[in-house]
Amino acid sequence: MKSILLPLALLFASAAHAELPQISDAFINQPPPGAPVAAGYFTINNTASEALIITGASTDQGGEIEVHLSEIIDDVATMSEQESITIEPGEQLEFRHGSYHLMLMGMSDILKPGSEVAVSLETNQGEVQFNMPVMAPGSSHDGMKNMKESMDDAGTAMEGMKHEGDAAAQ
Amino acid sequence: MNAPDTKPARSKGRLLPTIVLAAAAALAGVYFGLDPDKSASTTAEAESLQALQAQLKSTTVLPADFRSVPEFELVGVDGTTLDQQVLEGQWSMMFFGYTYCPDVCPITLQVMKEVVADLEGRNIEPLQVIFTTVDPVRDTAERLKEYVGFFDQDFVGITGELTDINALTRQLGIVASFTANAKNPENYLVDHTASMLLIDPQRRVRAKFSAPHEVGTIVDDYKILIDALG
Repeated sequence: MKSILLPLALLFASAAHAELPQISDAFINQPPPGAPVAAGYFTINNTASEALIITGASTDQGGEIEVHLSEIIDDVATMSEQESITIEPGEQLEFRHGSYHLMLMGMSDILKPGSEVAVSLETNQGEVQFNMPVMAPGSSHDGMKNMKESMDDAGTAMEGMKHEGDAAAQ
Repeated sequence: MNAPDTKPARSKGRLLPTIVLAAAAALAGVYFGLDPDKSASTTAEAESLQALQAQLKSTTVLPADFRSVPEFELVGVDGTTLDQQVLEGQWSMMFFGYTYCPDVCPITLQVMKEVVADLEGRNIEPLQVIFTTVDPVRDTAERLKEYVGFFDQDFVGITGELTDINALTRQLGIVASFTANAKNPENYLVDHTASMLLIDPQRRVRAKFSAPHEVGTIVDDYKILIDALG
């Protein structure tokens, strides 16, 4: 019996591991003092053969996290909470300035450069956990330049995924 | 033998100028049609503005008499009265946002911090950065002092009575609209104009810098505007 268990366990483990969403380039932009909220960014890659649906985010380190989308429509900057974001198999989505991002609320006093927040994404493929280091503003210059790209190709980014349900009431 | 001139009215010699004139008229029509309130006084000014506009990457230049910042009485980060004199005698970039804004506002202020550093390094006409909150209820003078000061101690923060802030934004064509939060009414969001306004030393609104805001583009466009209008 024992001789079968180990190979079986390894088989399941490797199968599960290969399908886990991959997270890269995660960071939180250090909020200015006085700011009650901060933004977190990362890239998520859906390596599974089924759609990945993100329905929320949380942390054990105090405070709440909401998933938001920034947009500029007719020269108006607007944000809306996203109830769910769907990423098709094999697709990736960048959470970045001017686009999808995590809004971290009530945590600003612990968000200093050098600290990290353990974040958990709620998805249909299970909890996806990763650490987000806090970076001083301007230290991630790619983020700055990427804002324009994210605005420009917001249209094409939508092709790989769909989002639904703006939670903000009017 | 010289035959009389029997060329048809649309001779080759008159077609090209006609086309150019029609195109210029169409362009001028589109330019003025975009904002009926605009009132460029002369064709010469309109033409030189169009030439200037063609050089700008992400900014709209406005005629000198388009709009001025009105007189106002608001509150600075030290809690004392701040009025329109803060704009007089220097160029300023005005941005409207709020601190419960995790993504766009802090990034824009960081961009402006780098813009100012770049301008100082190159000895270009100094630019004063003014952040006016569209959410003065949550953004008190104390909060703004920390927030704005984090980026640059010389940045100006403006708050005040909501009615006074609204009067200013309305007169400047700046939009701010509140979105209620069903889960937690205290955590409302504010939609706000993304562009920044360039104000000249006489308080006239000379240009509108479009989002997304990038350091290099802002520096380049500002330099072109100062060279032409400064």
